[in-house]
Amino acid sequence: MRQRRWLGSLALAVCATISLRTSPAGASMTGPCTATVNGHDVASLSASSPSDAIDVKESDTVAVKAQSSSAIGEYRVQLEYAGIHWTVAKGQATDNGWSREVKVSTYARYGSGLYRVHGVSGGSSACDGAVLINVDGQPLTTPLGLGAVAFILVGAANLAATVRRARKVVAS
Amino acid sequence: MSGVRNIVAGVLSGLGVVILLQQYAVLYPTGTVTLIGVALGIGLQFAVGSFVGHPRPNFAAVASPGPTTVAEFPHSGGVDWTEWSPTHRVPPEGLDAWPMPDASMSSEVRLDGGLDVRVDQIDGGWAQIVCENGWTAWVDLHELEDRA
Repeated sequence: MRQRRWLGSLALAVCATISLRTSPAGASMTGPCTATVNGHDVASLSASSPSDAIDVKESDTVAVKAQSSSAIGEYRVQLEYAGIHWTVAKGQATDNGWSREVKVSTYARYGSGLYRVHGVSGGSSACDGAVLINVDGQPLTTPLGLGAVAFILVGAANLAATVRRARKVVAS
Repeated sequence: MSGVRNIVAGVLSGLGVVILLQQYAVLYPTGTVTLIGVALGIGLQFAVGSFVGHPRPNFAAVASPGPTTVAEFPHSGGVDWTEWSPTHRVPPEGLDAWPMPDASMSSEVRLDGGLDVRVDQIDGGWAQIVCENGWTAWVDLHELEDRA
């Protein structure tokens, strides 16, 4: 009992600590650059608010462009999910800028919903920008959506088993 | 064992909810949001395990000198507690109690030291004790102090 209460308290403490550390949604562009995703100015969009997400379809191509007032070296386009980044495109900038098209279906094949597109460029004036994209689709027909439902059912089954076991103890 | 099961179920269900919210474009799962979801999932599993469905001793009633009725203690297991008289005492450091004589289950309650109990039956090294309020539990027989 004491162990369970301790774990419950720990979970709440973790939540409280993390909540305090969570920063509000702010500007999604840093450095002397301008960037667009499908024509939308990244600087004016939040990188964490779903209402600012750029809607795309799974069959679409996302055009990412960046321009700087000074020389840009190598650039990378990354997708981010749950804090994990993976690079979907990289290259060398020309004329202080770069542009790249990324096929949505190639990198978001397992599910719809919100993903963060993250652009990073080096050079004398490093820039960093991010924006949310919302991939249109039916969540309950995607591998990620079905997996999520299965995970929730596992949790529900354990709760049901806990309650059933407790009732059995009481009945005995 | 149930602790590990609760943690695994909590992690999975927390992740499931976060992923589903992401799939429906309700929220973007940053690392922080994902951790919060997992922590809440684990917390829910343990909260339900601790506070729903498990009987707890009514120590206030134990201390109460007034008469009580069986109906007030549905977990008395049919013991005729009106004839209750203590046979043993919980050691001063207290004693873990289980709902069943099964050490693989986690202990549900820790009895206060010095609490008078009646041993109702013995099963191996386990003793089923009955508190004055009719509440029953299983404890380690060898840890109990004989009142005589």
